[in-house]
Amino acid sequence: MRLFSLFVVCLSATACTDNPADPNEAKLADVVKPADWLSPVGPVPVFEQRPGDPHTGRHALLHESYVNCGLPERVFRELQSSASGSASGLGLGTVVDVTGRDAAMDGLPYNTNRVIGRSGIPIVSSNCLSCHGTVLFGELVIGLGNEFADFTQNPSVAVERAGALLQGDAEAAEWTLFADRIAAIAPYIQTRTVGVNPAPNLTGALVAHRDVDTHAWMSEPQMLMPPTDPPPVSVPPWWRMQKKHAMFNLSEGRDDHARFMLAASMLCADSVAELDQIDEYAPDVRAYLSSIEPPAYPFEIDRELAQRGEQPYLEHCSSCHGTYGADPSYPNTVTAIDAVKTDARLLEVATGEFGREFVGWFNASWFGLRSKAAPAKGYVAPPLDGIWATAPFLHNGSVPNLATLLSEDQRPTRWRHIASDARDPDSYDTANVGWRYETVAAGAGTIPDPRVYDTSRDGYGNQGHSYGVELDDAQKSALVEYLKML
Amino acid sequence: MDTSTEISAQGCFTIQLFRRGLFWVLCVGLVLSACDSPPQQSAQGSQSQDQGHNTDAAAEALTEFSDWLSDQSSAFGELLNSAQVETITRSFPVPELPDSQTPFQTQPDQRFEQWTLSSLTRPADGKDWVWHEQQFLRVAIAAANATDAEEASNWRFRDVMMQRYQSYDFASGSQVSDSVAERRALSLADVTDDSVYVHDVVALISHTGCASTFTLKRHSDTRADDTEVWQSRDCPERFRLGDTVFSGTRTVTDNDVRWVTHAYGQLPSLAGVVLIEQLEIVLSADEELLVNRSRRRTGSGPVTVSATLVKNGERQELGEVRWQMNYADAALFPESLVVQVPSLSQAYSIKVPAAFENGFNNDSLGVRHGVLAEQDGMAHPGLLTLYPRNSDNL
Repeated sequence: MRLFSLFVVCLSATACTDNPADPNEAKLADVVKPADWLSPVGPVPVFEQRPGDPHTGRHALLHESYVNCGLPERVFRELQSSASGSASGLGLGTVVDVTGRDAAMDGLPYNTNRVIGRSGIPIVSSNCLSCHGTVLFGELVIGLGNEFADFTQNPSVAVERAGALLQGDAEAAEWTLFADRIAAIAPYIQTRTVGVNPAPNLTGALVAHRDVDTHAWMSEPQMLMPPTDPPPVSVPPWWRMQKKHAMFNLSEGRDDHARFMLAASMLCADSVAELDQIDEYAPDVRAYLSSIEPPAYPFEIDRELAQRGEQPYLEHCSSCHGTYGADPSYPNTVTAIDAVKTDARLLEVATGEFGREFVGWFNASWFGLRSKAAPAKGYVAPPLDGIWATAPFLHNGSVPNLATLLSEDQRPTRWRHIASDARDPDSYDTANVGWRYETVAAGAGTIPDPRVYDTSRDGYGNQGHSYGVELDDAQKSALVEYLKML
Repeated sequence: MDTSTEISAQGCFTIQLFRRGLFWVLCVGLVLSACDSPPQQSAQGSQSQDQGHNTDAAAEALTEFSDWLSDQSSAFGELLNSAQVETITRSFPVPELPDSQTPFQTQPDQRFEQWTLSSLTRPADGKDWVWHEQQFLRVAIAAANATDAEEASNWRFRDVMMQRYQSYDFASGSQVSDSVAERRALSLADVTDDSVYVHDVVALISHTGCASTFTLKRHSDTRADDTEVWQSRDCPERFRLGDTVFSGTRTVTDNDVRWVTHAYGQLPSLAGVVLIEQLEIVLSADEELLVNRSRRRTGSGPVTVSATLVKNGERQELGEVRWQMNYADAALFPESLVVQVPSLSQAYSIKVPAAFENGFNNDSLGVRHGVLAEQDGMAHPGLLTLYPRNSDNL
């Protein structure tokens, strides 16, 4: 999935990272004195969210015009009907049954909504599932981050090409609006590797083009743009929102989550009035996201072995990732970068000069009336519900499976998934818990393969999170088996 | 609209379509998909004997027809805005894309149909490449069951049909380009299940399984050796874009590259706001480089360039590509083009044939022509599609 999957702003894609138990975290939080625009590391305070109706929220998610620009429906369906959709770089997405969708959307990919554009004609816009939905073993799992999406190509190539098919002024107007926005952000949202997501950069590039007071689109950036080489992130599952007090990897999504989610509308919502309209159902969408349950592990589990893994988990993982079972708990804590020692580039961008300007804009804007952007200099240790489905691991998806996560010296330096999507159960490695992969020698092949995850690249490092390394192989095996049950 | 106006306007529209719509089909359709079809290696070879034999008669007919059409220019705009176009369009069905279809079979029930037979041929001395292209186009202006018009008069017709022949000698830089346009009246042009003919040129189409053979000859010529045979061995990849169905094959031999394309369906759009330019370089029998460049007519927005390497049918995107054109003063088309592909560590230089500049007129949107791409002393045959520099006025 390429171009169309990035039309939508996959904002939640920065949510979580795996993080260890470390009894010193609270002390670290006490001694680190962040700038006043940053959050401290350590526990994240709770914020009461606006109530909403999950059923209404699901309907809105799959129908409403929260991304109100896209390709004219006629053009989209023409491209879809040709055999050329994928070949042309449009990555038009997969058509699967989505329960409860209107008949007008029949035949459209699950990651698109059919809405009426400003010119009065139907357009097809991307919805949140472009990043937050996956066809897992043949069934759509709403909320599961897409770990196979391809953001390595220049999205303007395919969008501009589609412009050759336009007919009439209305189609041209819709396309021009959409294509101009894509062109403005395209240089900032191309990743180096298939599977990782440029969401933080996408948000930053859109904010830079928005007037802080009116939210009008400005053709020239009004603030510092993010770096052109986006820090990659692995898309977190939505079901973690049941437990998390703050959104995103660095806990920067504070206070009202529903409003923060509306950053997904920044591609084309050009006024505060438009945002207000979307905000009316945003709490419903948030309520729906929080109601999603993770899929159960679909393969066989060695219950006896798993039981033996509970104790290592409690000793080495639970203080940050929480406990599960009859009496679950989740500490909602941010682990300092100096402690977790995972790749710091995302954090450096978010807490550096660009991050400071981003936070300043966000908190002074319509968004800041309810929400607050305040990244911490550390990564959130996420809940581990349904962790089996969320491979690869760490905030940047640099570690392909749980077994290698627990053995830092076994993590591959250059690797790529065997499969190109999550459809085939045989592509899943049940022993190591993750998608099957192969290692790739440096310099292999004359043409760079964007499917290769090269952990030597800036931002793509697989270091850190060295917890549990002292466990022996039997304990690690038991721990991996235990994690399948969460 | 009386009969004479209708005929004039439709004829004029066909000329426009031939130069615009046909071009659209070739460019947009192929860019969006067909070019990823794997090339064919052919051991069958082909005969290339006398492609220029039709030009004298063709030139005469074209002159007469063009003069006649030149008086009808205002009718073109009227026709495009007329409700009659909508009526005509609705009278034809949306084409079906069957699961199994004989390659290049005629589709007489469709509104629009076109075959293009193109070749870059290198004679035995291995030096002087020659570009040939033979095109057939038909546009139906009445539904298949609308027999009243045909029965009323022999001068009435159902289809407007054209054929065009071009030849370009790379050694001399000289071009021969002639066209013939005929109405169907008096059986001067027609499409049957196994042939298409316009004026004096006929293409006999035969099939054996997936393989298709086009035998080009003069309609009135019975000499068996004065023919040209085009063959495709494999089933072409077919795809559908909107209401138009496309198929195409390419055959590569040591001294010859041949492209056969077929499109049919509804009339293609003339109104895209984005122009797509393309360079297709045949690197070997099983490998080609496709470079696409898009730009908006308005001149606003991004100019994008992308490249794909197709090897044995497998596509690989090549990331960043640089496309550099060099223009002479006031020229609409460049004198040369250099395409650099960093991921391949290669650069390809193309001397743009004079046919681009000379063959362009205000009725055209662009030009598609055979080229030679120089790379490390080698000349790779290819196809280049370019639009004029000031395309916003077209």
